[in-house]
Amino acid sequence: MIRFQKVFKSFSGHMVLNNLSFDIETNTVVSILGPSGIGKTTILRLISGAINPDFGVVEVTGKKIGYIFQDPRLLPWRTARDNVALGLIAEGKPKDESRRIAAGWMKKLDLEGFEDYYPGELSGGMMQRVSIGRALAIEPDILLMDEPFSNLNVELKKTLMTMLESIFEEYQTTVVYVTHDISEAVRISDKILSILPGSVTEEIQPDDFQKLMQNSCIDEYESDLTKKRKKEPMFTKKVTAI
Amino acid sequence: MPVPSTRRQKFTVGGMITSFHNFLLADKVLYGVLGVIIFLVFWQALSWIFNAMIVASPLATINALFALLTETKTWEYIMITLFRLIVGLFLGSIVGLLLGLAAGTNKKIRQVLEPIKWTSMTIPAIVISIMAMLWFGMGSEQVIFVVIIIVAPITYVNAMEGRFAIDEKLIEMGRCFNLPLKMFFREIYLPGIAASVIAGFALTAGMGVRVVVLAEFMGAHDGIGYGLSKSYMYLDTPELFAWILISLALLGLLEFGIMKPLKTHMMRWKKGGNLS
Repeated sequence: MIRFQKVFKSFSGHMVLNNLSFDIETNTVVSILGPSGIGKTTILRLISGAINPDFGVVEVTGKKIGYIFQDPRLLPWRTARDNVALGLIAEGKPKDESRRIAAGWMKKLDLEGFEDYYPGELSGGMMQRVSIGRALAIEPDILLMDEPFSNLNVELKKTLMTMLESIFEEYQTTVVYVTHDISEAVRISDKILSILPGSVTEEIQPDDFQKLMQNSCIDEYESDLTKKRKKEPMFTKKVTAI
Repeated sequence: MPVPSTRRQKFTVGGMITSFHNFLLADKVLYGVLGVIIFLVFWQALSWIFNAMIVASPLATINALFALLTETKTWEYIMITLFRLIVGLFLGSIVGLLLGLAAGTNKKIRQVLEPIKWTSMTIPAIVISIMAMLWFGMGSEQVIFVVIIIVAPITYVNAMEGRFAIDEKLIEMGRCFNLPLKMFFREIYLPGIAASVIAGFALTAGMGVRVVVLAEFMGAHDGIGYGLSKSYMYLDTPELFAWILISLALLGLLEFGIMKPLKTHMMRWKKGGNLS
């Protein structure tokens, strides 16, 4: 269970999350949709514990959290297998066992034979698969995905999506998936959480196309608005007292 | 069966220059040998110009070196100096590394350490050596202390710069995957600062050799520096030059025997290109 209760978060005086509240139930796949700069990545960072809210409560039930970032964030000085094993070793599993499990995940992700390669020797798609392996190897209670396929080509994106879908079927886990792409969200999710300007949230069922289209229009409108804001920072607020 | 090529290359002046250039590039050693020859010629010329008591000739120095190397005492001195150097370098590097990492991570620690860094970097080694003689007397402790004081700030600066160069995203990744502190050090911080620290080691090792010899010259009853001071007192210039050659050999041993293999091992992940 993930619960956000009246969460506020700002960076350098710019408020990103403004009184945000929502619940995500255990073992559901939830996509978070919203325009750029609305705070989608900030939500994931708050769930992972990498940052803390300024005000409000973030409750996370579940010990193990796997995170697939937009960029792979692999340790360049460790082999692909050791990168996959990183979370397992951090949990306290013996190195040999961790490496064995990591090798199993690499096979599953079609990376067999590349175990001893360093990240710098792999292609972008392979690196992202290593990063997926790192997040899944710990068998997380919660899996956070931050637009993991945005830097990949369409074909690779399709292959990885299919791969992830089969993995989600096999392992029961709560998934929070941040994306811009409505088709991806519809394909993968049990529920879609649309974040609207002012941190207003709206829950949408993946088959509710009418609502999705409405929000998509808002997304486009907001994207234009975000571009304008960059030129004229008219909505910058400062957290002083709440 | 492979067929040997019968194609002949056209002979041109430009081609000949390129081939010669490639030959030189292919054999880096050649440039090194050229440097040594120029140095020896210059040295020989100086020994002709000046009195033999001021500049010993290369031949006299080599003779003195062989004479020295046949004595057990010389080897004893070399081992003593090597021990002091390695202990000083090791402890100085550990101190600099830990403080540099702490300063690179925490601004307050950096501000506290900044005046200490500047003080230790600006005080001349000879002053530190005199003070160390007062505190520790003559012997290994004072020599090792001087090496630590000289080496630690250099490693500190390199470690701090290395820490700045670590991608913050990797650190956030480590936090997200709940890496314990020990793993943070082993998996992120130490490999992240390795390039910067190892690059600085060449400078540190050179500085270490100079300082250890100076400290021994000033306040020890053994070691290469003591050998130098003895030759200086007896005005035995060829032997003095021979001790200098031994110091250089020590530096070469550190560079090629320890630093280079260490660098190759630590930086092995930088080999090759990617598959994209």
